[in-house]
Amino acid sequence: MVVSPNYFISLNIRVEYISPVSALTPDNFLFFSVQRGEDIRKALAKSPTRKPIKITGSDGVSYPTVRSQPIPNHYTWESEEDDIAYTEFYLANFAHGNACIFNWFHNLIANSSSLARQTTTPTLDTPKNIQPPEALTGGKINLSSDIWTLGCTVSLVPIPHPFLFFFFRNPRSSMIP
Amino acid sequence: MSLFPEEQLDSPLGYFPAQLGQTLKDGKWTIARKLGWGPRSSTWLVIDHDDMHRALKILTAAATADPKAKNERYFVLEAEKAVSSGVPELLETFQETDGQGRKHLCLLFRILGPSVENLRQGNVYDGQNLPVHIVQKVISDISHHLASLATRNIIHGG
Repeated sequence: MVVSPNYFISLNIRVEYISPVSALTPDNFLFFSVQRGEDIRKALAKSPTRKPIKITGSDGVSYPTVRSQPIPNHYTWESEEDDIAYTEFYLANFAHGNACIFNWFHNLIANSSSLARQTTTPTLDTPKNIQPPEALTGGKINLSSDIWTLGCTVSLVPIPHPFLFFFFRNPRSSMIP
Repeated sequence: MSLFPEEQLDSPLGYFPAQLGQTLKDGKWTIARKLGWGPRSSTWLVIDHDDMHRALKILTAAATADPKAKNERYFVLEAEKAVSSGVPELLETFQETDGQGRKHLCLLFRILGPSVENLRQGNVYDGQNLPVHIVQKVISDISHHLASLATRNIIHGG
């Protein structure tokens, strides 16, 4: 790339890093866990590891299959408020990120059209029924997109008290497919 | 009807056919338990000779072959800088080759616990509902993490 010395070019580039594949869904909200081997063994004692079962696939190969068994803890759906308050939920699954560079502001562009570089709009790998409007219309993805998806996720988690659904309602709720 | 209860091991996606007791990374890590699975990976509890317990996420062959496969490592490390605690801590990455010669990217994390989905499914008595105070706690923590990520221009994208 060659820049003509006759022109001063000031280019501020704003970089947005976007992780498009992960979904803000309850299976990606994880409890904290004990780490020491001794503590993990105590936890696993409550839920012994299941033995594998051999299943023959469509390819004729016999696979030893096991079911998922996360490290258990003492929390249940009946956990009291003052108990659950002391745990921390982790946000997991940052698969397949995508970096998008937007040309935020530039002064005096003459033979510099190559500097006005804009990548393709990032895409979300979220189920379409909870994607924000900008994802469906090709608009700009940002933090509000995450908040939208989180709100939809909450509304889809059945709760016994419907008022919480209204608590998370936003002006764009009428656009939910 | 699927033959397998969880990930389809005969799928062309190429899930790593891990077995309990199998060793990885030249015998350093021994598979002890399955922790979970997803469309691009399966996650296993692994133990080393020093009794260190870790979670090993093994990507499918297809996910490993994807040119964007290495981005997960990048974004997890960036997320760790933004959020002091609240995102998985990536410790190591390496590759394993399965019996069919397919390569699988392996991501070693500190262990995390069950998911909110596991919690919800535990309520078999009342439609798999969750009490309001639990949902409020979840939303509070996750929103806080999203806000921290946004300070480094990272969005979860979900």
